[in-house]
Amino acid sequence: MSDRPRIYSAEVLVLRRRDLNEADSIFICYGEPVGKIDAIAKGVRKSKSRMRGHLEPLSVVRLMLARGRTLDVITQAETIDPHRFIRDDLERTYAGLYIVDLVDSATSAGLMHQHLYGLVRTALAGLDAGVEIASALIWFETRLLTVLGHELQLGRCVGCDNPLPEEPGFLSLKTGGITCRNCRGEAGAGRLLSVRAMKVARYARVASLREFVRVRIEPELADEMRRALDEALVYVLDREPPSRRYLDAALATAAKP
Amino acid sequence: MAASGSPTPEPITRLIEAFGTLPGVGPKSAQRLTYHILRVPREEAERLAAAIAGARERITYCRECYNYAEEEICRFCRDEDRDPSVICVVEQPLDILVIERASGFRGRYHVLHGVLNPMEGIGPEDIRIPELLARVQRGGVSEIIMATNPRLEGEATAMYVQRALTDADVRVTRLARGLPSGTDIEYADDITVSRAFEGRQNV
Repeated sequence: MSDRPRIYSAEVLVLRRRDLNEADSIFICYGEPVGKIDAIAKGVRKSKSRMRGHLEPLSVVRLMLARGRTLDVITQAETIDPHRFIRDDLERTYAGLYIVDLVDSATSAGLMHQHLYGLVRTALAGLDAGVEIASALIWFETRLLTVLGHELQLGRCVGCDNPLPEEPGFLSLKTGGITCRNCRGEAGAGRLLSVRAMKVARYARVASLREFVRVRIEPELADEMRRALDEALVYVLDREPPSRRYLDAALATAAKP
Repeated sequence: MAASGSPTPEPITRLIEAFGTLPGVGPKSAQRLTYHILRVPREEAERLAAAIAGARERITYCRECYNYAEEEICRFCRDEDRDPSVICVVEQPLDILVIERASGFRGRYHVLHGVLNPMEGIGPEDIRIPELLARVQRGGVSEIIMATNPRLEGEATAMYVQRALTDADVRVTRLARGLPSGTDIEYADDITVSRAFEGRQNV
């Protein structure tokens, strides 16, 4: 923060809002190159505030900020992308908030992860364009692990380093990948992953979101991958994002005939 | 300054700490409030203390709408001139005061005491949504007006209630959203402008 000029501009995704008092709110945002910032918007809660509608979670905005002693102050805000379609759909809102929740959990104030902002923008743009939610989340979560430096080794057994055979493997979070059945015990591996799940995960790492969502992922496979990715992310982040269970409930309700 | 112990008498320190727990009251404001209390006539301070204690002791939740009330049923739910088939759902009891002052609404209310906020771990069971659904289930309700705030969480809450009442024989509506009076289109955000267009009316 001390490297920034006194007045600066930043393109950010608004993650959260915390009401400070009857007029002001603090916004937690993430962008590049500023990273994660907490900034105060004075008077934003008043009905005549020009910034009010621009500073909503899930919106991508351009901010003008003034460096403050403890918190930077937002002096102007202009919406770049409000993700309108996400906001008009309950399941997409929950999915978008889950993505934001992951970003919030994965980042610390003042720090930036390279490629994270682009990844989040792509995932939210995809949800906003109507792509299938489960596929978008699998794609995002797989790539998030990579961006955070915890890419799962999916090609070779993390125990014996041999190419993984064409059979289900075992997820080992301690060693960061998949083990064959022979190395399962040594690597402390647990969850079984099907061959198809591993293939889809490998594809998620190399395909664009648009390409990835064309892959047909059956509900059972999506469920299997979701559980494995959730476990990996909780292990890496050392916390379970609170929004996950509400997303699961919303998707389960939507899936009922 | 004393060689040991706080320079400030303990009751003053405790009162500063107590004021500091109030939302929006920082250490300096807490100090100012404390010394103000010490300066005003004793009767005024005692009136404040009695008002705080009395509010906590005498106020409860209305059994029907969860507004604050002195009795089991609040005055809005008791009022037979109000239409019980139309329920306006708000986030906080304070919202009722604003609606009563500004509009001619003559139905009843339901107070959620919050909104859905997945990131903060607030789900439907943490606010008064189950009670609202139960109220509709009991019958006699023809319309639910969702008057939650036009923020992301308020919109999600409105959508959730609408979804939960899909199979119920009840109309779920949302307060109109658009440009607040006194503002300039120049500074309005995209969502506000697009909602204002959707809600346009004949002149």
